[in-house]
Amino acid sequence: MRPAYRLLSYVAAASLMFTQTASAFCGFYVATGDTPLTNKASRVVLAYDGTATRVSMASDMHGDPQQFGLVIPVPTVIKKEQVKILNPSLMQHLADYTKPRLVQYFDSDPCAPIPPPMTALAMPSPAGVMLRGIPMQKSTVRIEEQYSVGEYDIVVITATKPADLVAFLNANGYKVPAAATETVGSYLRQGMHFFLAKVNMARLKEENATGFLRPIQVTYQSPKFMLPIRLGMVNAAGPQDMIVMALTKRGRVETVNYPTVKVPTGANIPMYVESRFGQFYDALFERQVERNGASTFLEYAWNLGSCDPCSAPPMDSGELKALGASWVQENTWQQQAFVTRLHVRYDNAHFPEDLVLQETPDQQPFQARYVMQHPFTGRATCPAGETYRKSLPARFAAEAETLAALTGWAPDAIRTEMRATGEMVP
Amino acid sequence: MIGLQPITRIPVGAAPDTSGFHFDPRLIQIAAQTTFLVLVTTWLDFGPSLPQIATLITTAMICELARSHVRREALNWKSALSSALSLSLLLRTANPLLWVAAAFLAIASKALIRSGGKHLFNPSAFAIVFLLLTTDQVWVSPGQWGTTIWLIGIAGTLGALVLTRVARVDIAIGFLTGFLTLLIYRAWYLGDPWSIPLHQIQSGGLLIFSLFMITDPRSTPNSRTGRLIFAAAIAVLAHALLFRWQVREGVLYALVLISCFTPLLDRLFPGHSFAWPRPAGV
Repeated sequence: MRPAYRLLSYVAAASLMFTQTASAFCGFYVATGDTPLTNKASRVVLAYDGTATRVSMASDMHGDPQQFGLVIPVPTVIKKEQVKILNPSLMQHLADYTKPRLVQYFDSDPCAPIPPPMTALAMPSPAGVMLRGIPMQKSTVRIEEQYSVGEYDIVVITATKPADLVAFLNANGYKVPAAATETVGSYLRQGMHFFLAKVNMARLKEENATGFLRPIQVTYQSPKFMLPIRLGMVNAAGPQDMIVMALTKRGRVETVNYPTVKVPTGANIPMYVESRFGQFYDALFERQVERNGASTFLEYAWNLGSCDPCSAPPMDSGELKALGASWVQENTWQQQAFVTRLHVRYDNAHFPEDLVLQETPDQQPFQARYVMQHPFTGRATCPAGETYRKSLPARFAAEAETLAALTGWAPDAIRTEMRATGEMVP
Repeated sequence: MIGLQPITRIPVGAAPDTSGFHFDPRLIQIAAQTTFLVLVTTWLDFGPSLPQIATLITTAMICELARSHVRREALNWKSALSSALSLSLLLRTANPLLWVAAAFLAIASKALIRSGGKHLFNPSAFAIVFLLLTTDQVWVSPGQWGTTIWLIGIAGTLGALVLTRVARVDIAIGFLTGFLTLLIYRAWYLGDPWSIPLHQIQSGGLLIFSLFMITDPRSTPNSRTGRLIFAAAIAVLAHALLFRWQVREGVLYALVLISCFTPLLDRLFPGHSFAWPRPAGV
């Protein structure tokens, strides 16, 4: 049976700040040319069934694809059959489905009979891979795999000496700072390998008419359920944002080496926020980061069998399987999958370690949800209508206070904006 | 090492207590656990619910009543309360039946799994590990405490142990020293910056609460040598479980596994068995 899929008075947040920034891959997004590329945000889907992990990484890079380079430490040697290219709409769909949402309600006529309560609203040729640079006989770098998938040329390497690996990367056009050597060495000693991807321009034209880079998905079997973020911080100008969407069998995913904090949810906020919901959430999130320091923030946790309200049409089993939830049954709404959306803003000072994750059996639903309550604008001439009207200024004042507390915005500016949209706050 | 009086010397002055007041270290432990519980429920997300805490305490008390009745022993409500508080701090599950099961397992393990006149396992550690192994509905959240609570926790725990003078601070210090040494060694081996082991020991909130369990005087070796070996073994096993086998609850598993060797340690390194101090003159 179709689950509770209600999309009544839902107001889609146009586009939150993290979807507006050029996103990068979680491991290490490096420039291969001299054009600076920002490494400010990345989006990752992790599907984890207890033993196998599928990591899908999306980039909405708009610069020259030739400048793109991905370096990510992986726990095993990744063979060609373990790499897939995804349709970008899949990750976008999951991101839309889990993003913070603004819902609106309308006050009923205070003079009308009380209605029953309503619930919420609703590759072919490896020859295409160019490897050059340092003389291989002196280097300890070992190429373990080398292949092309979609528009990407992929190489998996390891090395005995981290400096050799860094030299190899630079010789092959990945701009890696020398400061990364220590971190590269740490990953090598932990037995990890390096997965490198660059765009093959000829194949990009051949295979992908859109010109945009498609997400890469890598599957591996390893007890290591974690996300490597250390390399990405080496040359980052400031804090970076990452949205992790985890698909699991049992329940919510949390970090075990950083606290997981729920973002504030359920607050009633003034109506003018509708037109700037992205800014609102950005300010709210920034304040949460200031208050909670090195934490990961829960934005959504829900069984995929239902949503309320839904911020996008539900994910179907085919999409979930494509994103890595291989255990999901076809053609059933009783999804045996749970999605957790964690948002983390990390930098070197606060996040010395990679994110270590664990799946819990916690199925308690959570969503970042903010409420706009429209006042009744009809005539309402009965005594209850008079009482209702008198109650409104206090309600608007409370909404203004809530907004100021959540975002840090100036209370006076909030009141001015509210009055301009007809909310007569005292 | 902090100089400690043997427990038997605790009743300061040692005069028979006629005032009705006597110093009971378990009350300090209960006070410390209660403080953490208040912090956890008011400050952190994903803490225990009030019904969970109430169910754990009630069930533990009922089981303790039954135990004292069946075995014709004095009612040990402080021990039962302490176990219930430990379970509240660490055990997470949405299933109320498992709250009841956890409290029952804790008290039952104390009554039934015994060796050398004392119980083999720390009751709450045993209950959590048992439920982790036999159900898929419980979890512990080692990362939830954050650095601030960790600092308060370490100070509070060690402070409470020193105050209570239960002669088990050696285990706490032995365990923490061993665990930190291994973290530093790992960082040195990997070439990691110091910030990493420092962060690892601080964010391991599980450590604080395990300290209450690891130092449980009724389920640890009697001699100081035995206790230090016990602490070091837990540190080594916990480290291996956490980093090599990626077992997030490694500290709890290590405590329960190493506790199996307490009778052996007591045989190899004999010492005086611990008894909680009774009112003076008893």
